[in-house]
Amino acid sequence: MSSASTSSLPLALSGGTRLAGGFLRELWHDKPAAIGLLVILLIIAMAIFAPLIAPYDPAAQSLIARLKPPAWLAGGSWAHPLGTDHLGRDVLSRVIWGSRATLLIGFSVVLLAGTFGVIVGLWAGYAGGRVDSLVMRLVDIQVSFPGILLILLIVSVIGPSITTMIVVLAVTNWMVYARQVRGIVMSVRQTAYVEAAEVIGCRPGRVIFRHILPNLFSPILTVAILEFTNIVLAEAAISFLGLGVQPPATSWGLDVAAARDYIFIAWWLITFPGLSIVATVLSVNLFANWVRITADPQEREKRFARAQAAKRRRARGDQATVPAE
Amino acid sequence: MLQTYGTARAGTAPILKVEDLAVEYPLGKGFLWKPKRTFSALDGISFELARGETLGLVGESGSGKTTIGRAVLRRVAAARGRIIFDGKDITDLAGEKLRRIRARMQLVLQDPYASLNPRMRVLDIVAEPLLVHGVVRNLEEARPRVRELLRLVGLPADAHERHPHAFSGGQRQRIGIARALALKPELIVADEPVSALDVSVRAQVVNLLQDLQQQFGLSYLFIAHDLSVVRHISQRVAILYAGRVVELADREAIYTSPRHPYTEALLSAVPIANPSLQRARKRIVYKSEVPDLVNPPAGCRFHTRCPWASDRCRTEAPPLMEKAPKHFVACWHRD
Repeated sequence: MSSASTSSLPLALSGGTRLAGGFLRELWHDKPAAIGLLVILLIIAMAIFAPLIAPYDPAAQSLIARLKPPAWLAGGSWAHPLGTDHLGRDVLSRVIWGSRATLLIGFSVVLLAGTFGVIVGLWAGYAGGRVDSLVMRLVDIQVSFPGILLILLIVSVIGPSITTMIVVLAVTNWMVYARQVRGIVMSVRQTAYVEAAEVIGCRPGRVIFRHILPNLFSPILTVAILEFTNIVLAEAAISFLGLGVQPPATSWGLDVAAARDYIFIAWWLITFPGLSIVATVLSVNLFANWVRITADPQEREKRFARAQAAKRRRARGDQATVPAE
Repeated sequence: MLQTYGTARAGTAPILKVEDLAVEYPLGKGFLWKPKRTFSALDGISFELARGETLGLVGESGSGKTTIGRAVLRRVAAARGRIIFDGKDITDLAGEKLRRIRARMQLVLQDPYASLNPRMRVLDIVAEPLLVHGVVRNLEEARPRVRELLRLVGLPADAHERHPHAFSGGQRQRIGIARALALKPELIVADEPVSALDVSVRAQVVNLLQDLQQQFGLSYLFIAHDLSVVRHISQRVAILYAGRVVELADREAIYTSPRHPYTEALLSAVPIANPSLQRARKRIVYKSEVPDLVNPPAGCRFHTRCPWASDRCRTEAPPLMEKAPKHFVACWHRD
């Protein structure tokens, strides 16, 4: 990479508000990521303002209006745009309200389990030796123990609630992070720049946070996104077994699970909560991909160079009558 | 009864003195009563390094030259022996005391692509030693000092805002040198600082190291496998074989009149840039391989390959003996 393109990076690398502005402009250049962020914000707003947006009470039943199809199909009406379920509840309202539990559980569990797993992995990987063997054997034991069984056990003792579910899911899902982090830490520990950092006198804390942790960013992000979907599905499974989100409250997972029985006669029951899960995961994915590249200076400059090259190509193409390339 | 193996400048106290150093690496874990197996990486290493001097450490892969550098910096533990830095025994230092003393001895690493954190700017990299040792309180305070360091190692003034990947191998090595210099160390362990570089920039980096030595009175422990580079920069040279020093002498003495059979063979492998001379020259090649250091051979470690080996060589390890003024050779036979 030439020094000219490097130094002309338009992103201000210092200064608070300038920095944020720079990032936003950079995000705008990556359309899929920008759309991803937009969708995430919309879904979060939907969850927060659910009482204002939802046309009906999600728990209100109406046996006269059972299994109504979405509005654009024969027999549907705009009174229930996405149709109704087997108890005559409005699917749209349920999707809107369901986002609350799903997002809350998904994000909290990923955050909680991720933080704990990363700390344990860092500790084991950095300390090595006996600490490492001990911690990793604990991880092995917990991995070998069926998670759902543990969840059922704990929930049936403590009693179901959203908080219990978050804690229990975090307790049964942190091991993935610990394993992944420990492996990376062990390999990064051997790199020359970590040795250099230790020789110049960095204390262990600084070595871990300045030199090792940044390397974990993209793999952890990837695992976290995969885990998010897992958590949504796990929540659905627990709710389906009656130990998770308790009716009349609802969640996407619960609706998907409950709609399973009606998949042949009322496909919309499973489709709309399912699509919501897909949209959430997809937009988180698109946005996270952008974050991953932005967090890596080398990848970021490559992306910038590609954008510049594309711009030049377009400029040439506009001037010439024959399209370039 | 430790012998001192002559320094280049008599009178001043040496900056570094290594006495009978041995390093062993464990091989796997000992299981219950089964004893731990070890790999004898270094054995009976002794040398001195004067202030402002460069001692070249030469040897093939696995000879232990890098391990000496790491042991001096206390990155690997010594199984036996002493390491004395500036008159102070640092062999058993730990924790904060070790951290403080390490500020006075720094390391330049081999691979300039791996030794700089790709996520940090040059400013962060060069300022880090200053920050962690409390020389400066924040990055802004470090900036003028970093500029000065970058100028010293011959990098453009605007280099400090960029990331390492924007630089070539030679430039990256200069960044590594600037980082090592930041704390004004007295001793620099240069672990093959030019072997990863392009031939065309090697000379530049070696000359830079020499200029810096003159300017700051640095002492170098210069580890290399390239004999011509070592000849260029070192005042004295130690030849290592299988974890032991086999010959230690002034540069000219080593290169013009090597006395140990291994040194002779090593030097005969250096190509001469003159085809007719190169053809006329005899290349010495010894049969067999470097011994297995898990079970090092008794006596002289070179006896398995040495055509002059006698019974004494097979049973008794030769110490470094002064065969000529300031010319130490570990061989029972050569004079």
